[in-house]
Amino acid sequence: MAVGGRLGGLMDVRDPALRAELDRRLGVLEREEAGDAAHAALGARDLWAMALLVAALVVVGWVIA
Amino acid sequence: MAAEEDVTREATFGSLPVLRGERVWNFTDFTWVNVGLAIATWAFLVGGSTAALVGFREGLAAMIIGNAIGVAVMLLASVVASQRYGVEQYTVLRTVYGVGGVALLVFTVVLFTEMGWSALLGVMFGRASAQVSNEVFGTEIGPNAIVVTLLALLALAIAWVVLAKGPLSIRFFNRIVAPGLAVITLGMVVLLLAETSWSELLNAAPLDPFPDDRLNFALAVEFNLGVGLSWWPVMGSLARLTDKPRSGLWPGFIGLFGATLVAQVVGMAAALTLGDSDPTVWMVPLGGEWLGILALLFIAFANLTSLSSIVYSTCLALRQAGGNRLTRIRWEWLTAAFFVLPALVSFKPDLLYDKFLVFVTWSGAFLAAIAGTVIADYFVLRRQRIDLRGLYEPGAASPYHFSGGVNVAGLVSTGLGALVYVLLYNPQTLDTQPAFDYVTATVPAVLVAGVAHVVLTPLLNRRAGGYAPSDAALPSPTVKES
Repeated sequence: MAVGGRLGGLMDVRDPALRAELDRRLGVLEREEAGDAAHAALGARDLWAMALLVAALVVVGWVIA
Repeated sequence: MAAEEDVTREATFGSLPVLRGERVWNFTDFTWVNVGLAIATWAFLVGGSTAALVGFREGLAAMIIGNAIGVAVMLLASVVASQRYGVEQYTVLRTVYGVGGVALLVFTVVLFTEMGWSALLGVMFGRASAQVSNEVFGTEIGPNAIVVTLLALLALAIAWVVLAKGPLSIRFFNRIVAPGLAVITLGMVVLLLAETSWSELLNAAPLDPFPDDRLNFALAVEFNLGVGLSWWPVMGSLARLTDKPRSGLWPGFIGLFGATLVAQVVGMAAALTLGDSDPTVWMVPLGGEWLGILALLFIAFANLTSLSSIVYSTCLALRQAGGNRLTRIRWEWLTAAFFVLPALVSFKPDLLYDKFLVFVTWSGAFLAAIAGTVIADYFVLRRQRIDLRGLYEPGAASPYHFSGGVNVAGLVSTGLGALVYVLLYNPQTLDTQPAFDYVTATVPAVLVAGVAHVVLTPLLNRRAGGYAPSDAALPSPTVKES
C-alpha cells in the first residue's frame, strides 16, 4: 500500500499526504461538525452524578464490610 | 506485506481525529464493548488474589470500593478528552506532558506495565495447559515447572505470530472470546450456587491473610483500586469512536465496574470455597473433569487473544510515541522485541503470577499519579478545551511544545503523586503508614498529583502549554459547550 509506506514518519505533519488528510479532517470538523453533540464537553450534571454514584458505592462497601 | 501496511495505516491515520461518520458506537454498543473487555481471564485471578487477603463479605466490599473509585478516576483521565476530540489518548496526552513527556511515560510506565500483563497472561496459559495435561494424561506438572515456562513461551510465540498477521486476525479472535468468557462466568455462577451454601461462603476464611485484619481490608481495597486504574492504557483510544460524551463515560463505568465485579466475585467465591486463589487450579474441582478441562482450554485460548490485543495496542502506542526512529523498525521485529522481557519472566512463573498484588499495586502507583495530573490539567486548568489544530503542529509551532517538548510541571506532579503513594504504601516491602488503612494510597496520590499540577503549572508554564488566556483564542474547531 503506497500511502501507508509514504506515511512512515508517524505524525510527521510535514508529510504532504498526512498533512492533507489532517487538514481535510480539521476542515470538516470546523465546517460541518461544529456544535455536533459528539463534541460537547462532559456536562457538570454527569460529573456530579459520577461523584455521587462513587460516593454511594463507597458507603455501600463500608456498610457491607 | 499486508500486516505492515495495516499497522502503519492504523498507527498513522489512527492518530488523526475521527469524523462523525467514523464514530460508530452509541451508548448500547459501547456498553457491550466494555462488558466484553471486562470479563477477562484475569478477573478470576483478581477475585482469587482478593480472597487471599479477606473473606467474602470484606472482599465484596473491597471490590465495590476499589473498582468504583479506580474506574471513575481512570475514565475521567482517559475517556472524556479522547471522546470529545475524537483523538486517541496518547496524542491528547501531549497537552499534559508534551511530546517528549508522553514518550517518556509510554517507554517506561506503559511499556513495563503491559510487559508485566503479557508475562502474566503467558504464565496463566502455561498453568492452564499444564492442568489440562495433568487431568487428561495423568501428568504431574507443578505450577512452576519448566513445562509451564515452555508453555508460556509457546503462548508468547503464538501471540507473536497472530500479531505479525496484523489487527484483523486479532479482531476475529476477540469476537469469539468475549461471549465465551461470559458463558463460562455464568456457568461458574450456576455451579457455585449449586455446590456451595450461602453460609459456607460467608464463613470461608481468607486463604493467606496478614495478622492485621484492618491492613488486609486496606490492601484488598488498594489492590482493587489498582485493578480499576489498570484499564487506563486502552480506554481513550476506544472512547474516541463513541457518538456522545455520555456514550463514552457511562458504558465504561457499567462495563468495567459492573461486569468486572461479577467476574471477580465469581473468582473470589470459587477461590474461597475451593481453597486456592489460582483459577487454573480450581476450574476442574469446580466444573468437574470435562467441564473443567473445557473451561481451562478456553481460558488458555482467551489468554492468547488478550495477550495479542495488549501487545498490539502497546506496540502501536510505542510507534506513535517513538516517531520516525521506531517507524523504521519492521512491525514483526518491534513486536518480537516487546516479548523479550515477558519471555525472561516466564522462566520464573511465580514472579508476577503469585505476586499479582505487588505487580498491580506498583503499576497503580504510577497510573494513579498520571490520572491525577491528567484530570487536573483537562478539567481544572483547561476547562475541557484543547487546541485540536495545535495538537498536530510540529515542534515549537505547537502550543503543547512546552520546554523542548517536555512539560516539566506535568512530570514533576506525576512524580510527586507516585512518591506519596510509595510513602503511604510500599508495594515492594508492603510497609504502610497508619493513614493508609483509612485513605488508601491511590486517593492521596491522585489528589497530590492533581494539586501539584495546578500549583506548578502557572509557575513553570507562564507562556507555554496553551494555558495562557491569549492562547484560548487559538483555533479550536469543535468546542461548542453542551
